[in-house]
Amino acid sequence: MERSKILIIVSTLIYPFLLMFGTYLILNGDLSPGGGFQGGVLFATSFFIRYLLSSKDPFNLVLLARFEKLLYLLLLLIGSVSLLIHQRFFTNFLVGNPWIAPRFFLVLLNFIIGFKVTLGVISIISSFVEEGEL
Amino acid sequence: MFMKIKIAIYLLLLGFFGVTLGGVFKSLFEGGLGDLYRRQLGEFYGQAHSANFVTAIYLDYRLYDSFFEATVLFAVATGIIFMVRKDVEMLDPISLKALKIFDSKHDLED
Repeated sequence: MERSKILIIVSTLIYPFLLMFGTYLILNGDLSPGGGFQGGVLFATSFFIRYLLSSKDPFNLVLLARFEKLLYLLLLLIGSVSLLIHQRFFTNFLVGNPWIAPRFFLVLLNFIIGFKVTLGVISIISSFVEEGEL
Repeated sequence: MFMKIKIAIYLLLLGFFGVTLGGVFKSLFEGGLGDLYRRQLGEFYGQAHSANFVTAIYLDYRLYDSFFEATVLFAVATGIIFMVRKDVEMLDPISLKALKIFDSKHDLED
């Protein structure tokens, strides 16, 4: 497939910045605007740019779906830990313990949601790639 | 010549638009929302342990909301994979073998 030179050069330029900015958005999600969803979509976009540059079929769909399923279950499990500690469903279970700061709950959830969104959007994109050339 | 004048007018309009929008945002954040933010931050931080209101809401008070949002994305990805994959690829090895035997016995003429 023929690709424009402008597209290739601009993609090469913004690719590392996309990765960096996605990491920043996910890790700083509880202090500044951003969060798991936005960072995850940025990561997925950077993988799509990698596909545009190298033009080979990148991912195994079955493996992606399996990992996404596991992360989804992990989200449910972490959400229900507070049922054992505070007798309330889906809330911060680190509140009131003397060792770990409660903000790490938000960081952890942002990280999981970001990873899951990345896998979901990548699997959507690569299923379209598999169907026909994009 | 005409093209250059057109481009200049567009740029001028864009500049006016940008300045106006910047002023609106500035007044919004410094006058209205900023004060509210600063007044509420101390009280809020004690309860939610986050400097960002929105994160504290979607990961603490309304965690089930983001959970079902993740569910929607998961369902969409699964559905698209299901639609894209061909029927034969989805089958397990035993069913695939049965299908091959069936095909070889009932050799349809076409």
